[in-house]
Amino acid sequence: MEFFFEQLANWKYYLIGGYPEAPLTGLSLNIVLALLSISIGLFFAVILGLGRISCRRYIRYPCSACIDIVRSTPLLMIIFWFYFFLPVIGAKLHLFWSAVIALSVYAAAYQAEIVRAGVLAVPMGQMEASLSSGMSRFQAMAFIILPQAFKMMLPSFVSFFNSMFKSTSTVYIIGIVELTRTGIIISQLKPNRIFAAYACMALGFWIVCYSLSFAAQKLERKLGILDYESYKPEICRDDLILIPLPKAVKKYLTTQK
Amino acid sequence: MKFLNLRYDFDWGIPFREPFLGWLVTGVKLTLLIAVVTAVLSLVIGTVLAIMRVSRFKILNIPAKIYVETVRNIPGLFWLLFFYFVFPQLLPSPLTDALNGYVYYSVIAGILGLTVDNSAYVSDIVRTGILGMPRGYMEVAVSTGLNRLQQLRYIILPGAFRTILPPLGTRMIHNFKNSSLCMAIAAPELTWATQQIESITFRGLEVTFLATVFYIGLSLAMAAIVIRLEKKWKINMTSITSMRT
Amino acid sequence: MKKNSLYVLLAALLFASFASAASAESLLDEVTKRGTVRIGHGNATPPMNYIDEKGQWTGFDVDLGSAIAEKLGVKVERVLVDNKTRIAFLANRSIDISLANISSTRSREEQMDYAEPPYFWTGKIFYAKKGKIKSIKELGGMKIGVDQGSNAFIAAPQEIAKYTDKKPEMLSFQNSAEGFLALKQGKIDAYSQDAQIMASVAGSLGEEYEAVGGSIWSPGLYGIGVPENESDFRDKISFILQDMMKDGSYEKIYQKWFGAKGVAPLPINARPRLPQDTFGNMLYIWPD
Repeated sequence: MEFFFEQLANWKYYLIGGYPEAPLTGLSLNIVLALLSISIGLFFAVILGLGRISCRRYIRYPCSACIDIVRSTPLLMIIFWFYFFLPVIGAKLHLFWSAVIALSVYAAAYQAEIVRAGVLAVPMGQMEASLSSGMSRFQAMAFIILPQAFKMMLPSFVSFFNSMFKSTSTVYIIGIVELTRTGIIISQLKPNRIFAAYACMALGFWIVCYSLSFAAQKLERKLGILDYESYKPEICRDDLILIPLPKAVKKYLTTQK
Repeated sequence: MKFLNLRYDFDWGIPFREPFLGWLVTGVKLTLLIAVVTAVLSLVIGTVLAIMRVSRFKILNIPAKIYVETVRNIPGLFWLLFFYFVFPQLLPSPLTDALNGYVYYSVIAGILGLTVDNSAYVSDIVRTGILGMPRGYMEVAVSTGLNRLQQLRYIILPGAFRTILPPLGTRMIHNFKNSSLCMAIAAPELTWATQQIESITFRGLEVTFLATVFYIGLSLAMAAIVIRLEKKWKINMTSITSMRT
Repeated sequence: MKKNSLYVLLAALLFASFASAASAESLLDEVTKRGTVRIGHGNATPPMNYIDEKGQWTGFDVDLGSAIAEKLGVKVERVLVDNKTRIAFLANRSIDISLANISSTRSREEQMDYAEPPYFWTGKIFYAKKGKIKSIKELGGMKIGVDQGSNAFIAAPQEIAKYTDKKPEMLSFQNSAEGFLALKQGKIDAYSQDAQIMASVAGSLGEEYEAVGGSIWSPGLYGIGVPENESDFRDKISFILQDMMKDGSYEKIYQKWFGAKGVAPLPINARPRLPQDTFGNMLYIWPD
């Protein structure tokens, strides 16, 4: 028990490591990794998620394939792929960035499913109304559908952030010094402090995750729980291309029946 | 013409050479063993926890809630490391020595860690299923004259499991993928085998590729089975809810 | 039909984006031009390379790497590698130098080159509780741990097979600290790692442990790893290392880490040197 308090007094090491003299480590690195990968992932998630509900098969199938492949690969494998494969094709990346890319790919696939569900939950009439008011499909998607969808997706995003934050602990395997590795380093420097180090590790994760899941619950209650089942995706009209493309390409695609 | 400027020479013979083939086969077996055992265990524990959580008694209700809130907010990797390095030390000493001395304790620790992690999620899913049953369904259960436990066993749980099949299936697939984390505690499962081969031959891409295909193939197959079962077991809720009138 | 050609075009574009022109200039020129040398270090094997209490990346390898970069006249960029990638990254040219306690082995030599001479002379021991295991023969049938990425995973069973028919049970851990913890808790009977790393990982607990048979079973001659077929660069690094041994800057770093007053005092002499009976402890340096 006294070791536990001794380690708690060492909170700065668990939180930021030797920053700013030494590179950032510890819990804040987990948060940075989660934030970065979620925001990079979100950009691709919107494209993939919208692509997946497109009526065009040549858009829908590749997007679905990307999402399904990433979703059925263990995160550890994705991390190893980027860790070992990127240098092979000649990309010289800092270890941190290869971790960020791997986590972003993972986040993109999972968030794409959230985006898809969110967009499908917006009533179809919204799209029709905006189209009849003279908006282009891209405008309707960007200004009418997506804002509503994002509002509904917010609780899912917060709980996904929670799960992503936990997943960042996996990158300890490739040697990034985040909270898990920090705990292991402490138990390496002082082998008799292993219980205390593990307890501090758990506490760090728990505090962040609990506040996140608390926030997700609050948001859910405020915005109303998203009912994924209420919408059936079979409503699919031929002229609905969700991905914004140059007109020439669009024309080429639509004439290729 | 060399199109891709790869700094790597593929040698597809590596995965099929001894001792690497042996490691991979053991790895596949262990991965499947861990995935199946944790799935069954966490389903049982998760269901019990869910029943405790919907119970009216605080003595059942509160411990279950604490368990779920603790486990859900700490990464699965932590539980694996915890069960491998810390858990045996907390037990009485004969048990500590017995566990530590066991050759395959890493596998046991992996199963324990993943079960603890997964059961919390399963309990949440089952709980949502029980709470989400239509009112009419519950009324039917009460009107049968069975006692509360029998109602749960014969009427409510079978109904709940049918409705929660998709999220439960997703969770089990996730659990299967998580089994790869067991490499961190020296359990010789599939991901461990690929890394071990990489570290001996410095050529890991071939085996990593094969392992990835294995994971993807099995995950997709599991997903297909879940969709099949969902269709087969679907019950018409509207007919039950309309029984009230 | 036209649709197919579109796919082909897209695929071609995708592949073309990966392809890049191979550079013909030698690595030495490239490094000088770039102004930085990328050196790979691990961070989990004290005292060679590790992260200290202040969160600083430090160790004998790290200090040596900085000194080499200084002699090369370029800035140093440290890249984190682990036991698995310290050779793979060198082979795919992500790093220029790998200084991460790599002992020279023949199978590694196929993927990389070593600068001459090996910069640190140590060896692998079977580390076990005092008095528990008398000789290597007794290790047959026991559980032996190694680092994942160590050649001992294959070499140790071969060594033990010389004495007994019973096969040992091999386990591999992500780093030596986890392995030592497993040894301490009795999850494994012996841990095979280089002597000075084991001493450092065990720290004050080292008194309770000893090397099985009291001796090194396999030499671990740490080499500075350089990419395969870059003989200019390899020579340059070799000469820098030998110059450092000549002018005493190697000795300074050695004393800082392994001297009597160093961070991890070492009873054995791990400096690269020639056999005493013939050369009288002359350092391993090529004459001009």
